[in-house]
Amino acid sequence: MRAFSLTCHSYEFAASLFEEQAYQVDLTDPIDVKRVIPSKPKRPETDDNATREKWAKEDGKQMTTVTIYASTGEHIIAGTSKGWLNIIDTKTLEVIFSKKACAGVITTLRLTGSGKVLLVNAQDRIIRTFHVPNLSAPDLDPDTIQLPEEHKFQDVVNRLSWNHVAFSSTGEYVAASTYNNHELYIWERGHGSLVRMLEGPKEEQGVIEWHPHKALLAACGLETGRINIWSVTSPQKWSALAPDFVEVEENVEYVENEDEFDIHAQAELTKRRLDREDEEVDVMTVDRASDDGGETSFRMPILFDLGESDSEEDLIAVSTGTMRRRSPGEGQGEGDGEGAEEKVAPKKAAGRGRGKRR
Amino acid sequence: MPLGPPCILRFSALQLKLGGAGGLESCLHPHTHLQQQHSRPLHQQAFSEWLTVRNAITTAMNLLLSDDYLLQDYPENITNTIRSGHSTCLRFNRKGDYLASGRVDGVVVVWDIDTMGVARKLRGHSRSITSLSWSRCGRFLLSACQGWRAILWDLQDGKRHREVRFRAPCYIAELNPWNP
Repeated sequence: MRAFSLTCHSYEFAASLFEEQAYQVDLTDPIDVKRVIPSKPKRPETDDNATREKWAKEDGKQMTTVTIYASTGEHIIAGTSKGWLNIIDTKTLEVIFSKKACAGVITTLRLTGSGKVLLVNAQDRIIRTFHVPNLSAPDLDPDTIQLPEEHKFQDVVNRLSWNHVAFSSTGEYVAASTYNNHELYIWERGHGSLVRMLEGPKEEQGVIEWHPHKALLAACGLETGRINIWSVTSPQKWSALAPDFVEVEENVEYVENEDEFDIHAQAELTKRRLDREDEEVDVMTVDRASDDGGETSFRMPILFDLGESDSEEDLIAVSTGTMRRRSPGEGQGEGDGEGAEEKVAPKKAAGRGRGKRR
Repeated sequence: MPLGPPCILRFSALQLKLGGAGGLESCLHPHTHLQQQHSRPLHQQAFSEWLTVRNAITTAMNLLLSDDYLLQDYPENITNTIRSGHSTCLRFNRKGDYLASGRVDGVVVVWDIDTMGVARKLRGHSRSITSLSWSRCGRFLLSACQGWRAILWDLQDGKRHREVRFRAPCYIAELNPWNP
C-alpha cells in the first residue's frame, strides 16, 4: 500500500452534481472513496417545535449547487439551491457555519488568490462579496465565525442577470458576463463602482476567467464557443530596445562620425567577425530571477507531433510528412471530434457564419 | 513576471525618497551626485551605497518600460480570439502559462498563453465539459462532464490518471488546493 501511494498521488476533490447530494471524492486508494457533503445548514439550538419543524421542512429540499475549497484546503465552502452558504470541515464533513446569503440559487463561488474574499453569484441578479475569516486559526470557535458582506454589484437599470463572475488577479476587480447581453462588466472592489464595460463580439459570453497575474480576461462565447481574450494593448516603444535609441517626431539630419561609413577591406572584416565569435557564450547558467520563488512547478513536456497538437493553422496530414492547409469551408461541423479547428483569428471576419448548425 | 501593485508602491516610494526626477538623475551619475552634494572625492562606502541605489533604480526603470501595465490593471480590448471546437468552460493554471478549455464534444484543450496555440488535447469524455480544475503543481487537471464522469489527467504523458463515475451529471469538480 505504501509503495503504491508513492506512485499514485493522493488526490481529493469536491464535486457538486445535478439534483443530487455533493460528494467529496478521495483518490488516494485505487478505488475512490466518496463521502456525501452535507447541504443542511447549521441552525441554532431551539426549543420551539414549530420552528424546528419549519426548518427541517425547508432544509430537506435543499441541494448543494457549488463547492469550492477554502485557500488552506481544510474547509469546503458550499452554496445551496436556497441561497445558503455553508462552511464545511473537510476532515469531519460537518457544517461548522452557515449563512443565508440570498434568496436565489447560488450558481458561482470564487475566492481571491489570498482566499480572504468570497465572490458569490446567485440567481437573484446580485453579485455579492464577503470577507472570509481565517478558518485555520488554531483557536477557531465555530460559534464566533462571521462572514460579513462587503459589496453588492447589480445593474438596477437594466435588471441584468450574470452568467459567470471572476475576481481579478489581486482581487481588486470583479468581472461578470451578462445574461442575454454582450458586454462584460468590471467593478472595482475598493469603492464598489463600475469601472468599465467591455464590449466584444456580438455574442453573449458564458464562462469568464481572469489571468492569475496579468490584466488578461478570457471568456467563452455561448453561441460559437470561441474563446475571446481581452487584455491591455501596449503601443510599440522602440526606445525600449536600445538605451541610445531616440524616437523623433520629425526628420532630423544625421551628422555621421568621421569613420562611421568607411569601407574596410574584406579580409579585415572577416577577421573581426571571427574574433568576435571566439567569445564564449554562457548558455548553461540558469538565471535565478526567472525561476518562480521556490515552489515546485511542473513543466509540461512539449509535443513535437503536430498531428496531436494541431495548433494555429488548420493543417491536415495528406500523407506521411506532408501537410496541407484546410481549405475554408471544410470540416466546419460544430465540435465534431476530429474536425476540430483552431485558429488565431484577430480578424473578426474570419470564420463568420460558423457554428450556426444546431 | 507578476507586475502588480507592489511594484508601483516600491517605485513611488523610491521616487519620494530621492525627491522626484532630479534625485533620480543625480543618483545615476556618481560623480555629479557626490560632488554636488558633498564636494569630496568618491570613496568606498559612498560608492557601494550609490551602487545599491542605482540597482534599485535600474529595476524601477525597467518596470517603467512596461508602464502600461503599471497604469492599467484591467483589460481593455479584445486582443485574441482562439477557437477549438465549441468551448464551454475555461480555467487558467496557477502559474498562468496555460489555459484549459472544455468543449461541447467532451475534448479538453490546453492552450499555451504565450503562443496562443494548442499545447495538448485530452480525449476521454463524450459529453459537454462542465468544470475544470488544475492541481497546485500544474501537472494534473481535473475535468468533469455532463456524462456523469470526472477524469483526472496527468499532463506529463497526457493520459488519464483516474476516472470517477457519479450517479448524476457533475456541475463542478474542484481539486483540493493543497493536494500533495
